[in-house]
Formats: sequence, C-alpha cells, structure tokens
Amino acid sequence: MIDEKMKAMNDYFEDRIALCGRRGQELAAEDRADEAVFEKVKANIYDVFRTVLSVAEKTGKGDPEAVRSFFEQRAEQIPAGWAAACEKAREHDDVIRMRTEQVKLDAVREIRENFARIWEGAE
Amino acid sequence: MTETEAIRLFKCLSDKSRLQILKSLAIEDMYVERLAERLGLTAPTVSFHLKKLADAGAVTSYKSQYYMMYSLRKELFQTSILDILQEKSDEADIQAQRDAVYRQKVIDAFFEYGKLKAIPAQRKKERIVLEVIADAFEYDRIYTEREVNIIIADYFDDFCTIRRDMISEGLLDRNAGKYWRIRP
Repeated sequence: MIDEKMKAMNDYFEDRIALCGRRGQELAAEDRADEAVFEKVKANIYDVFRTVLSVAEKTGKGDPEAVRSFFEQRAEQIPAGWAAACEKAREHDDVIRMRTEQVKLDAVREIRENFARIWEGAE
Repeated sequence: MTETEAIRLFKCLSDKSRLQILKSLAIEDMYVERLAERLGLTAPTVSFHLKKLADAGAVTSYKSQYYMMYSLRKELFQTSILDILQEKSDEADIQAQRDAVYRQKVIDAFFEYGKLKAIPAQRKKERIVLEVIADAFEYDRIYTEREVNIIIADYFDDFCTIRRDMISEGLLDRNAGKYWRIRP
C-alpha cells in the first residue's frame, strides 16, 4: 500500500517539476524573465519536498503513519522561515520579496494538500 | 536622466508583462485587480511588476476611494532615446554614479528594513553604514548620551560600539557628556 502512495507522490512531484520547467521556458521565451524565475523557485520547492519524502520513506521503514508524521513535521518546519520573511516583507511593504516568499509558501501548501489527499485516498 | 537611471529603466522595460502593464496604463489609470484581469496575470504578480516599474520611475500611484490607482509617468516616456544618448556625462559624474551604486550595494547588504544586520569588517563599508546612521542626527543640535543611544539603538543593539566608531570617524563629536553632529 505504501508503495502506491509513494509512487503517486513521486509522480505528482515529477509532473509538477516538468510543468514548472515547461512554463519557465515558455515565459523566458516570451521575455517574462521574472515570472520564469518564479517557476524555477516553485520547481525547486517540489524538488526539496521530493527529497524530504524519500528521507521520510527511509526513516519510516514501511510504516505509512511514520512517513506521514515525518513528512508533515518537515512540511511544517521548513517553510516557517519563509512565512516569517513574508510577514516581515508585508510589514515593510516589500512587494518584491513578498512575492518570492509567497510563491514558495503557495507551492508548499499545494504539496501538503496533495500529500494529505494521496495518503488518505490510497488507504 | 542619468546613465544609471536609464539603464535601470531599460532593464525594467525588457519584460513583456511589464510592457503590457505600461500599455494598459497608457490607455488609462488602473488598479491592480483590473490590470490582473485584463492581462491574465495574478494580482500578486501584477503588484510585483508595478513595484519594479515604480522603482524605475515608470509609474506612480495615488489613492482613489478604496483603490490604489497606478498611472504612467508620461513625462518620462516623452524623453526621446536620442536625448538620453546625447546627455553628457563627464568623468566626475561617472565616478559619482559608481560611488552611489557602491554605496547603495553596501546599504542593501548591511541593512534590512532600516535595521543594521552587522557591523561591516571593512572600514570603507563601515564608514558608509555609520554615515547612514549619522543622517538620523540633526546638525546644530546638542544631544545627551541617552538620546544618542536611543537613536542608534533604532538601528543596532550594540549602540556603544556604533557611538564610539561614529566619533572616531569624525561623524559625531562630544564634550562633557554632550554630543553633536559634525558638518562634513
């Protein structure tokens, strides 16, 4: 059962990374360099959490609940600094920094929602 | 327009989304959500681009009822590229621009939202940082040590070091517990 969940999550990460890569290329080709960078930032976040999931799998040793616990804990911890940076940027009306942090936070939120759906749905 | 300003403007304009925003604003003033809908971008992305355009001096904003409206700085776009190319820049201006760029880089690296992150190890950089803090002091005014400490503490917790360094750099002077800013 855990293999199916892991496969679904890894497929999801690969799809998203590929999609970000395609969008990034399209945006760069349209001379939208900053938005292309946002796609790279997003792809990097998916890649980070793909690694987190593989570490969770090793740490969990086949126990889906242990994997979930490890993954969710990291998904809470890792973006804490980004949320703080985003808030600080908001306080100082630093729209440029805020946007970059928000892109990262949006990607994590989507990953967490997808993880919860796959982990519950496959059970 | 200085060379630095022209380069910043041209860099800012070399983006399709920002050009589309400017094209929309050339028709009429608009708010973020309206631009987002019109251009098929998200509102945060439009805000991001508008901030870059505002920093380059290409747009200005004003409040209208509930909305922050953005408008094109038409006078800037009435400048011809030939005018920019023909503008004379002597060596002193070029050096002053280089210094200004360097100074801004140091300020950006060592200050975050007006707070000093660390005292630079290099004397040249520390001098710039101290000059920024010195701007918080008025000329021709006598400050008590407590007032000096409070002003510096707004920038950096270790106000003793900063206060001492400002004196050794000739930015502040003191006598009998009273402090004042030295004119350059």
